[in-house]
Amino acid sequence: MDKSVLVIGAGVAGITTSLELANSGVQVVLVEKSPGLGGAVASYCCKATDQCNKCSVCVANQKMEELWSAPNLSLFTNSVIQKLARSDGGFHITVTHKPSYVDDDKCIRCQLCTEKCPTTPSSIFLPPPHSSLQSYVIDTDRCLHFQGKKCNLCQEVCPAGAVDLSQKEREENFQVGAIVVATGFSPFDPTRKKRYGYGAYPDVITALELEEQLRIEGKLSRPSDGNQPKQIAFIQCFGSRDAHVGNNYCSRVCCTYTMRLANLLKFKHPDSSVTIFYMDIQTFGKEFEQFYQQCRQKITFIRDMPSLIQQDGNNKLLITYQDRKEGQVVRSNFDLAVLSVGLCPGEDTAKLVELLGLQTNEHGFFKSLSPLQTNETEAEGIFLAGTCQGPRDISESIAHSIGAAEKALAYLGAE
Amino acid sequence: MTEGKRIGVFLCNCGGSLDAHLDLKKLKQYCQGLPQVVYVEELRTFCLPEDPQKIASVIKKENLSGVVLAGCPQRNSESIASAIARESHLSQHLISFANIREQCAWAYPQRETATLQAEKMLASAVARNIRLHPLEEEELSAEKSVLIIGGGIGGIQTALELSRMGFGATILEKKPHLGGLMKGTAAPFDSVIQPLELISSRIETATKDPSIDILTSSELVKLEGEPGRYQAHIKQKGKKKTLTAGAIVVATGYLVSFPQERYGFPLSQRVITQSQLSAILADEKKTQALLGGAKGKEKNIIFILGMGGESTPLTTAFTLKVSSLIKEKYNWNVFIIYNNIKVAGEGLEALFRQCRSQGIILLRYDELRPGFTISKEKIGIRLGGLLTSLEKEEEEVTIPGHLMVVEERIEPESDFENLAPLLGINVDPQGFLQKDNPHLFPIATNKAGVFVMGSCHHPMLLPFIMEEAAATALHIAEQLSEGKIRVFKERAMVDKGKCTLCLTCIRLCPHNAISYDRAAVISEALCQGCGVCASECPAEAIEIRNYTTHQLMAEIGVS
Ligand SMILES: Cc1cc2nc3c(=O)[nH]c(=O)nc-3n(C[C@H](O)[C@H](O)[C@H](O)COP(=O)(O)OP(=O)(O)OC[C@H]3O[C@@H](n4cnc5c(N)ncnc54)[C@H](O)[C@@H]3O)c2cc1C
Ligand SMILES: Cc1cc2nc3c(=O)[nH]c(=O)nc-3n(C[C@H](O)[C@H](O)[C@H](O)COP(=O)(O)OP(=O)(O)OC[C@H]3O[C@@H](n4cnc5c(N)ncnc54)[C@H](O)[C@@H]3O)c2cc1C
Ligand code: SF4
Ligand code: SF4
Ligand code: SF4
Ligand code: SF4
Ligand code: SF4
Repeated sequence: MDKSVLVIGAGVAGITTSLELANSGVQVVLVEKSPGLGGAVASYCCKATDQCNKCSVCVANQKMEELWSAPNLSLFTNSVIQKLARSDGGFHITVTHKPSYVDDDKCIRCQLCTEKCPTTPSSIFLPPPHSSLQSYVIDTDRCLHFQGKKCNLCQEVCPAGAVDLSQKEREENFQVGAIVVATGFSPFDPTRKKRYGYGAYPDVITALELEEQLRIEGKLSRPSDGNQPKQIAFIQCFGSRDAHVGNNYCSRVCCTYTMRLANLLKFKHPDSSVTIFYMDIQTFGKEFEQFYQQCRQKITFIRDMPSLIQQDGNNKLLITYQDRKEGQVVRSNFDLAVLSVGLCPGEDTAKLVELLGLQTNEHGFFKSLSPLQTNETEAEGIFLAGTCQGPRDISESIAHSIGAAEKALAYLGAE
Repeated sequence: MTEGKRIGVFLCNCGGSLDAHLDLKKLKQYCQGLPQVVYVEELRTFCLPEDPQKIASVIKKENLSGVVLAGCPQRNSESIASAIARESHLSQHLISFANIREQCAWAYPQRETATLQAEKMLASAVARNIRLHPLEEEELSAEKSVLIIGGGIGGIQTALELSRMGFGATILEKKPHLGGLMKGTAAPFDSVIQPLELISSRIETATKDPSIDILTSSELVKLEGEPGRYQAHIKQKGKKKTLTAGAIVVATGYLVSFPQERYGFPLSQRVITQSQLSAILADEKKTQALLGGAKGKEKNIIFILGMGGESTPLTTAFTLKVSSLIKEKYNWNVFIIYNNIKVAGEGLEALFRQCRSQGIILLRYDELRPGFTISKEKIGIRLGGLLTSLEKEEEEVTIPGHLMVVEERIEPESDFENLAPLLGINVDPQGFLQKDNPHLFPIATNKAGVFVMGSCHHPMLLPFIMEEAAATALHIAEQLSEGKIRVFKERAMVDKGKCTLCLTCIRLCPHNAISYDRAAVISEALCQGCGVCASECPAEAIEIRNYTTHQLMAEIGVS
């Protein structure tokens, strides 16, 4: 029997599963479709103020780093599972590795290619500083060359001769004994809910964009004019608990991350005011209730889901909501609105369902064997880890992933 | 001891970007002149996946006994060092880093000054590297059995998982029987999970399992030893016992209480707690007596959430399920009065909506807490400034009720005050086990070899408890596999001659690694090398390996 496991997805869940398995002496093949590691967490900021606020982002980062020195691990970024067949009680898999087209040994990180690329945004770029993959990549969905056009500017302009657009996709075959699916979630698509003006007004952003800005720049500025916003609104349950968009569940993490972010903004910019529009606040987990009570001292909580966000003539946002205490409709000015996007099933779910013979639950996440067997699936030898099974925060994803590793090990051992 | 070292220095030009700021040729020459440096090389990078291997092959070829990597501050320096160590068989602790990019190249606009500073930094790094001791790892034999404190679903499930992985487990339960909170919970957890059935079947499996021992009516009185070989002193119905265990799992669950001061009225026949209702539902006769026979008559049952403290997904789950049942089966009018409905759990939002469509009336209050009039005949609740889920505003409504079910407050087990110090682990401000530290979360504690799982560190829904049980079992299996545990030798060392036995270190060690026997004694298996003891010892009797006073002085001395 092959003591080897395929882990699909290198978010915090996939990384944790891989580390646990590798450390237990199992050969791990970790396949990640994007160029970088870490999944969603790779773009989050630390939410510490004068104290650590326990968002667990650093824990996820540390796991990413541990991966570099893990034994028994083959990592394939930029890769997807092309084919999968059951054989000899295990699985025969074919992985397609998309080339990076940039030879990292030659690349001197001069940025000339990024500057010269005619597409916006540039199709050749260094992945964000936080992702642990630190070599240039080409987004072939955008790149003109791969759209059949004649462009090869980057290759010509590169002084080190590091760009080679003629590289071809490579296929590799493996035999594994078990599979752990850790393909994560997709953030709710903000363009699906028009009334908050995402896309139409630059100062309506998602919490994901806020996280990224804070991680990279360390401070907050308004997309429209670069000024520091004074009045900031968060809008909860965006794309969750909402039958109109078909998401009849609570995303579990957005109340907590919003409060940590709001608290951080208040700390960084004490002169700004932060308002959270909400239906119900979810407090669970360790010490979070006290944190919520502290937040209530410095943040305004308004219990209503705004009906509309507009922009007025002075480049300010106008949020319309119902003041239930006064029983009337109010319109207030804000500089920035942050939509607390929920967790939706991963974008490749349908593909994977077909490839792996899995099922989805009523909310579209992968269906587990039973409510108490959240790692196991009806497909033999295939296990689930992290948010691909349902909303979880980082620490819960970690616990779930260790569980998945344990289940996979037991499965391999039993055969 | 410091003679005859062969130090290698690797200068990284960060993909060519440092050349403009630092004279790397000069630095290379400079390093070649430093004592005991036998090899210097300029590299383009050392942070790429293939770099550790390249460096390792040089180490082997040149037979280096120490390595200084000079470049940027490596976020992942530890993993780079460990990768190099693995490939080269040089101890990871003999590989050190110097940040010549931020602290020299970027800090000084002039190339000459920057280069000069880098020289100083490299000299100090080499001086320190010469004096590094390799930290040796040691394998100690370890007991392949685990003591589990608490025989609720969490403890039992962990025992079963451990048994499956080839470990023995002893479950220590203070009550005369296993089962914990679920034993008293008859209400279905959802359409699939019937708590009584589930817990009974798990108890049965555990009882039959030859690798699981069960000690009921038992308590831990003292814990000695270290990971791999803990000695647990146990009292079972007055009799004393000692048990050896490789690791300890704490799964002691939580308690519920009725905070009368928060509600302002006592429990009575008409006002009962969720637990009381749950116990009644477990008994067909009692249930009929309480809920049956309402035919033709209007009967109101009111559930109150969020008044004893913030509500939780556990109590919300219970309320929604039971409400739905009472509405459907006994046709009572059901009211749920809440502040924040806690639907952060699988299926809870859908259940919440189902309750609404079943005709259960959900009323939300905000800052204004409801007012109560309670008499033998009836219960009245006033809700002012009401926020209803019907999206309608009302001044004040009064609901006459026949039965009111109040939410209890979830509290830490009453004996955590004794248990936590016994185990040497800390508690959070609410009194639950293990302070919140994301790096220990979810299941590790400040004490090596002691784990917390389930509702004793914070109240959690059953699926999460099951996940933690699997995670706990695997972590224990990794640490104790093959009956061995790996520890660092002499990470912190006490100079017995200097120790005055003032007990400062014993008091301050955050990992409870120090005991005494004529002088302070540090357990290698428990010590995490944090250095607290060394910095606080008034007699300067403790040294931490790789940060000995000797090394620190060497570094300061040169720069
Ligand atoms: C705005 C926001 C802020 C948050 N902040 C916090 C916080 O502060 N603290 C906290 O605890 N939690 C937070 N969360 C929740 C956190 O993001 C999740 O718990 C965590 O990211 C889950 O990790 P995962 O590995 O399950 O999924 P992901 O991070 O989504 O990773 C999945 C990985 O799988 C890859 N993948 C997908 N499909 C395929 C495929 N077909 N083949 C190969 N690879 C594939 C993806 O590229 C990705 O790398 C936040 C969530 C949001 C939306
Ligand atoms: C009325 C009610 C309804 C609920 N409804 C739901 C629901 O719908 N869904 C859901 O998921 N959960 C629900 N729960 C919660 C669920 O029952 C608990 O989360 C779960 O039982 C906790 O399991 P545990 O093993 O962590 O702790 P417990 O079940 O509390 O077990 C802990 C055990 O440890 C023992 N112990 C404590 N201290 C010591 C000591 N010092 N030495 C030795 N033994 C000790 C205790 O006696 C006990 O047997 C409900 C709970 C109640 C009370
Ligand atoms: S990333 Fe989060 S958990 Fe880590 S230090 Fe910052 S606030 Fe604390
Ligand atoms: S080929 Fe052209 S479009 Fe494609 S990455 Fe290079 S410059 Fe950009
Ligand atoms: S966690 Fe909070 S914001 Fe997110 S869906 Fe649930 S209630 Fe809404
Ligand atoms: S602090 Fe120093 S002197 Fe005091 S007991 Fe510890 S080692 Fe001995
Ligand atoms: S270094 Fe000292 S204080 Fe720190 S864990 Fe070890 S013995 Fe305890």
